[in-house]
Order: sequence, then structure tokens, then C-alpha cells
Amino acid sequence: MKIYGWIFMIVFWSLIIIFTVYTFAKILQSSNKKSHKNNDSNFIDNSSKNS
Amino acid sequence: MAQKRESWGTKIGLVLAVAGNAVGLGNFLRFPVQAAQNGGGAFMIPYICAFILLGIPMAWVEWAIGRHGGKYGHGSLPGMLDVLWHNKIAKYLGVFGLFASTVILIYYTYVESWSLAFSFFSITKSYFGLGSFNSMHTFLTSFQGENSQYFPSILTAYIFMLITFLINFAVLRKGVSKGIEKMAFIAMPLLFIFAIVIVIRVFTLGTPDPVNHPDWSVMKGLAFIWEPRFEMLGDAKIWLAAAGQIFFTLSIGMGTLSAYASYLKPNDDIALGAVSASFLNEFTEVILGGTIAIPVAVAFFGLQTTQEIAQGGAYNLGFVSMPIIFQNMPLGSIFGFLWFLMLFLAGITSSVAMAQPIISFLEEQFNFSKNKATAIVGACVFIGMNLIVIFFQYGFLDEMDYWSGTFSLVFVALIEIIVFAWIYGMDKGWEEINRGGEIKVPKIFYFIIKYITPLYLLTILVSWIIQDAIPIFLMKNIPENEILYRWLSRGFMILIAIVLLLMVHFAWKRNEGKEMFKINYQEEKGE
Repeated sequence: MKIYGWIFMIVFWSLIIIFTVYTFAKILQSSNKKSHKNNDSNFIDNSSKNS
Repeated sequence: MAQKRESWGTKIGLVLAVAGNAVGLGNFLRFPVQAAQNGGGAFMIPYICAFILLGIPMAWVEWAIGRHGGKYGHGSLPGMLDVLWHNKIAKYLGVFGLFASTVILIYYTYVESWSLAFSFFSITKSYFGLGSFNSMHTFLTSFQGENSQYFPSILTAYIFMLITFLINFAVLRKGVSKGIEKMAFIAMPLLFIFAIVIVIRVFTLGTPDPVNHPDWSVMKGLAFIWEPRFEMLGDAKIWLAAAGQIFFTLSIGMGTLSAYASYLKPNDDIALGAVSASFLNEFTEVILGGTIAIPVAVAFFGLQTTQEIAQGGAYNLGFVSMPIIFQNMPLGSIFGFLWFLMLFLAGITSSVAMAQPIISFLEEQFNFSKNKATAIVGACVFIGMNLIVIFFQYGFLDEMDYWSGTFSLVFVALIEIIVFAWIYGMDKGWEEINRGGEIKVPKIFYFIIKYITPLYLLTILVSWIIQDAIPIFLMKNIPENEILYRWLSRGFMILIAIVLLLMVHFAWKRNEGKEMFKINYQEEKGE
């Protein structure tokens, strides 16, 4: 493959991989945050019920 | 309308389901053919432009329309457009979205069943020994019922069609969270694993026959896809092909993205979700899809034959050329099995999405239970699939594919963006896209969505009407024996459209009072 081909392939692959990983990691992060929040609110609910 | 709507169990589940909806047979078969035919690496320039100016904006618009419609209890386009634009015509325009997803569902499920059948044929080595293009093509057409050389009747294809149909509707019957989301959690990781295993195998093939064909290598194949031919960029055809590919690959204009987004809560993020699902699809298409079929074909058949295969279209590449390659590859039956099973997984995650808008419509507008709505849609799809199986060889499917799977998509997308950005209003629309967002959408997309995307869509629609729609409508270059069956196909599609229009009409008459109450109630509550 000629040099232009390699450049095109590497640039587009890198861009796609970076954005895919970044956005999917953010989704995982926000999902974790949400589940923590839910756990915390369950804890508060339960503790208020207990008190 | 009073029943409580389902919702997604997890954010990752939704993103995987939307990515699954977008990742289909086209990612592995259509994209490499389009790239190779339209300038190689240079194709990626209009492709990326279309992704940024058309794909991502439309994904945001469809997600926003869906989440907004879901707030009012609507999971399909007629209701969603009606709450965006309080005009009598809005709900009828939404019928085009229902029409596209329903018609595509009918024929796509049949095509998907070929993948399941060929994964079975691979592991049982049924086609092994058929080393030439002619014999493999005859095997495929015999399976499809065109001749009886390898299959005495259509029964085998019919059995696989039935299995595929039953799997699809078993998933749909379980609902959004317990059916579609659970399936996405299993199918998507499996699909990625299978694809990565095949990609590794392709890269390790090198030059399979270095003595006789030292030029036939995987690297030559990659060069065929990636080496830019800049002189082709001046050709408008390439820009249209790239825009078309972005449309198909992201499943825009079908109402499926909005249907999935309608199960979000009003303040759930859509900005990040839409981008993440779109990039997952691009990863599958450009990196995995672009590295399998064409490079491996060049390694086994050489550049010239691969060019001819690419001209022959995606199905020839997937179901004729690939089986020949698997026969010549060590452990070919296992890799063949993985390849076709991967296509099947890509297909099923898309077909369940196509059924969702019409099932939601029946549930919400006619108060049908999930089981009843799924059974009715299932019965109608089954009847349609039978027509396709019987008349397949006469272009019945091709006719449906063009009008619903190509033309309607652009038309529906244009309706959606005009209603969203111009009638509902871009200020409100922008607020809708950004509400609850995990990322901030760059302000430039406000102008892209308002001006550039609609113009882009209009250009594609007009060009397609002139280039393809008119000659196809007039049946130019269609063999004489197909004309009657193609008209039958058109009649069938018109019938579906009329039934959907009547259903929308009666549903709104029936729910008139309740609908107004619901909207006023929600607006009063400031939701």
C-alpha cells in the first residue's frame, strides 16, 4: 500500500477508535454514577424508614 | 394510552440496542463494496462529511423527537410528529416512518434468515466442494428457489425463514427491557468477538498463494479500499453514495431510533447516547467491516476478480465469494460459521428494532396488550414474508427495497428535520437535544441542524428522484417477465400504506378527547 493509503487508514481508524472509546467510556461512567446515586438514595430511604 | 410505558433498564443497554439497530448486514457487506467502488480512501472524505453533517445531526434529531414523543406516550412517528406540530397533517406524515420500518422488516427478516442458513451450511460443510463462482451462485439461487440443482424445493429456505421469524418475535414479545435490551447485551459483545476473531484471521492470511499469485494479498486488499483516488472526488456520484451509506448504516429515517428513544425518561441524556451509538456503528463498519470481505477476496481472487465481485453487489460478496474463500481456508467451516452467525446477529439486532415502532403504535393507540400487538404484527409480517419467498426471483424484494429501504428513508428524514427544526422550532429543539446531556453539543450544530442537514437531505432526495426514482418507476431496464411481479410488489406496498393511514385516522378519532387531555395535562405540569 502506498504512503497515502496508510495515512488515510491510520488517521481514520485512530479518529474512530478514539471517539468510540471516549464516548462509550463516558456512557459507562454515567451509568456507574447513576447506579451509585440509586444505591445512595435507597440507603437514605431505608435509613429514614428505620429511624 | 393510560397504561404505564416501559423503560430501558440501563444506559449501556440502550446504547448497545441502538448500536445493534444500526449495525446490520450493510456494515460488513455494503460498506466495503461502496468504498472500493467509489474512490477507495478518497471515499472516506465525503463519508466523514456525511457522518458529521447528516448522520450525527439526524441521530440527535431522531433521539430528541423520540424522547419528546415518549413523554406523551408515543412510541411511533405519527404520534411523535403530532405532538411536535399540532396540525392535522402531522400524524399522516408520520405514517411514512411506520411504512418504511414495517416494509423493510418484512424483507430484511428473510435476508437475515439466509445468514442463519449459511452458518448452518458452513458448519455442516454443505457447500464445500463448490469451488467456482458459477457453482456457488447456483447453490445460492437454488436455496432461494430459482432452480432445484442443490435444493429440491424452497422448503429449506422456508424453514430457516420460520426459525428467524420465531426468534425475532420471541424477543419482541418480551418487550423493550426484558427482550430487546437483554438480547443486545448478549448479541453485541458476541458480534464484536466474532468480528475481531475473523479480522485477526484475515490479517494472518498474508499472501495465501505466494508461488502462483504473489500479488494476491490482504495488504493489496486493504490498499484497494484505502488508497485514495482523489480525482474521483469531483464526481457528485461519490458524495451521493457516501450520504446514502451513512443513511443506511445509521438506520436514519425509519423511525426506529425515535422508537427506542421514546422509552427514555424526559431528563435522560440523549446527546452522548446518540453519539456513542453512532461511533460504535462506525467502528464496526469502517474498522471491522472494511477489513474482512474485500481484503480477503483480493487475497484469494486477486484485484481484478474482486473488482468484478464488488460490481456484482453486496449479496454476491457475502453469499457467493465468501463461501468459496472459506472452502480454501484452514478451519474454513468454523470461520464460515462465525462469519454468517455474525451477520445473523447483526441482522437480528436490526430487525427487532424495525418491528418496535408498529408494535408501540398498536399498544399505545389501540390499547392492545404487548402479546396481542406482537401477534398481530407477527401475523402480518409472516404473510408478507411468504409473498417475498414465493416471488423473490421476479424482483419482488428489489422493488420493496428501493421504495421503502432507499427512497422513503430520505423522505422521512426530511420530514422529521423540517418538523423538528423549522415547525417545532430550532430554539426549542436545541433545548430538547441538550436537556439532561452528559456532553454539551457544540453550538455549530444548531446551524448545521437548521440549515445544512435539511439542504443536504433535499439535495440527496432531488438527485435520487432524477437519477433513480423516475427510471425505476418507469421500469427502465427491467426484464419483461418481472414487470407484473414488480407491480404486484408496488400494490402490496400501497396496501400497507393505506392500512397504516386508515389505522392512524381511526386511532386519532378514537383517542381524540384523551389525547388532548393528556397533552394539556402534561403542559400544565410543565413537563
